[in-house]
Amino acid sequence: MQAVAFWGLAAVAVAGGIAVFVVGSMARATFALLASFLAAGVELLLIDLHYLGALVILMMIMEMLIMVVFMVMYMMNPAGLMPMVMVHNNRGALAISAGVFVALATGILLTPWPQRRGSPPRDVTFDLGQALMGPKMLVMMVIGVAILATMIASVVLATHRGRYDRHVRFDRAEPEPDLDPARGPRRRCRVTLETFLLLAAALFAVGLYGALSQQSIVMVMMGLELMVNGVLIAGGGFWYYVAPGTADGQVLVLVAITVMALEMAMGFAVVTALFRARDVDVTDDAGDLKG
Amino acid sequence: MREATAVWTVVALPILLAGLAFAAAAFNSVLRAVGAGHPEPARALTDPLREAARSLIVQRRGTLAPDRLLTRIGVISLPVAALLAAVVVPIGTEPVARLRIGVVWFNAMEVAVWGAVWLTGWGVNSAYALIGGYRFIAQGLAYELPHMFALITAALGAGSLDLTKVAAAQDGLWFVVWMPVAFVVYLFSALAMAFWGPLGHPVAGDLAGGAAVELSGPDRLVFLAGRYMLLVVAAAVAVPLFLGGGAGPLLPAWTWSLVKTCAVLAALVWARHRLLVLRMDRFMELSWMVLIPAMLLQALVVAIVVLP
Repeated sequence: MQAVAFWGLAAVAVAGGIAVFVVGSMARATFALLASFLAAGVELLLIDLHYLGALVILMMIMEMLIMVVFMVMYMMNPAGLMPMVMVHNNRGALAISAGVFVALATGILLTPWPQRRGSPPRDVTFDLGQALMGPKMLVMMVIGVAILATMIASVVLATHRGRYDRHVRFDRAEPEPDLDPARGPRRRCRVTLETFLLLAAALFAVGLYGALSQQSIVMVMMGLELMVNGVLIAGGGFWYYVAPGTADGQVLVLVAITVMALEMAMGFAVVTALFRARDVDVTDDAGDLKG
Repeated sequence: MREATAVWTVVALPILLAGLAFAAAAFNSVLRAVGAGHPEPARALTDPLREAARSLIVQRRGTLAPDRLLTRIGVISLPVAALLAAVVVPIGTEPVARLRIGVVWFNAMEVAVWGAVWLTGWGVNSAYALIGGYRFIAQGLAYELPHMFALITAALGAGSLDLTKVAAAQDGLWFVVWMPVAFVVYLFSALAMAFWGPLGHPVAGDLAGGAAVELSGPDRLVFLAGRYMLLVVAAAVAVPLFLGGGAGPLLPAWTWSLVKTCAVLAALVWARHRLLVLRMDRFMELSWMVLIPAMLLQALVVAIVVLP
């Protein structure tokens, strides 16, 4: 039962991610991405991460609705009524992302993952709260300051007299999913750490393809979000299958959720500043921003 | 994840939700008839039924190049979100599915309305409908923060995100007594999430019906029914959060839950006929300049009180 649910949701998550870069309508692309996130959120619910799962659902619906506003604002042809292709180096991007997926999958299947230590506490959410208010307080405070800084920075950037030409760079790298040896599989219902990581790798690869191949800045951001979605799944999988006794994995997922929100806020502020200053909404026209 | 619950409640919940939604619609019709000076307002009680029957047989209107898939998803999401939110609401002492994080679950399902209204407005390919959809996102940004603070204040007072435990924590003193600001803010956001009455700007008359303007036939029926169901759920959640859940003398707990839900629901419906529609940019100002600071103070007071 759990295995069926896992694979069904995994299929929805990956198919939604692929659909983002296939459908013509920007509204459909955004809601395909949302479907991918919702499937990831329910996957987290499946492994007892109730609070984080509900949080992913909550945050992603709001984020995608904000995103769709920017999509419609900045994309030519937002409804996809006039077919057009806006990609560059499509084959290269496909090859690279396929290569990354194969490499990650190989690593996932060949690594001798550690045995599971401990079991989930009775109240997982309580455990997370205790960790955040105790040993992981620093993480909480950094997240808080980062959110505040992003709010101020994005407002400054997006207002009319932005400062884009001095400080903005587009080649921000996304963190690789944490694949260090940790965690141990528990062969229950055939859903294992490996399957979780494979799903994460698939989402990461699809997102990578989008980030590499899309010309529109907003579409590039959707690719980045998909990659972080993979990190979410990987973090949840590591928590459940490796060290459910401690809240570290949960904190990692929480940080990934925050990163996604911050990435989006800053990204749109930058797009707005760039658009205001130069009428630019595709990456190729802003090539001189390369560092 | 969930305690054992009787299977029949799974079937009974949609029926109960639909029944309350109909009651709200009937009450709304009566109030409208009274407002219009109708000689026999009680005859308006069956208006919603007539309206529903008409919706089922009327021919659909179409627009040029609509995105049918997204429109359907948007329309259907409304009642589905209401139903999913309702599963964690305790009727009496037990909800259909008891989640430890019931408050967060309710919040997540209620946010799905953002998507539902925007999709409905976008999908039909009509300017007024699209503006209505955008209005709801603006309104969502305005109401969501004070709303979350109100939810979390009640949860803070009870020390739990489980709606059943929040209700049980009000043994003796209802939260509405010592969290009046949170309760008022919650009622505001209940109106906003169901885009009802004074916060019905996304479907207001100045846009000829806003997000719902191009809906016809069964689509319109599902959309409007979903909106009433949201109103019902928003009213029902106020009961465990602020009004002591099923607590009350003599009658069994589930009866008290229903009585209180109906009272809140009636107040929300009545507000539509008493208050003017608030433009969402003005609501945004009110919300961020007044409601958020007030909510922060309220949360601070509650936090100080519950500190061991």
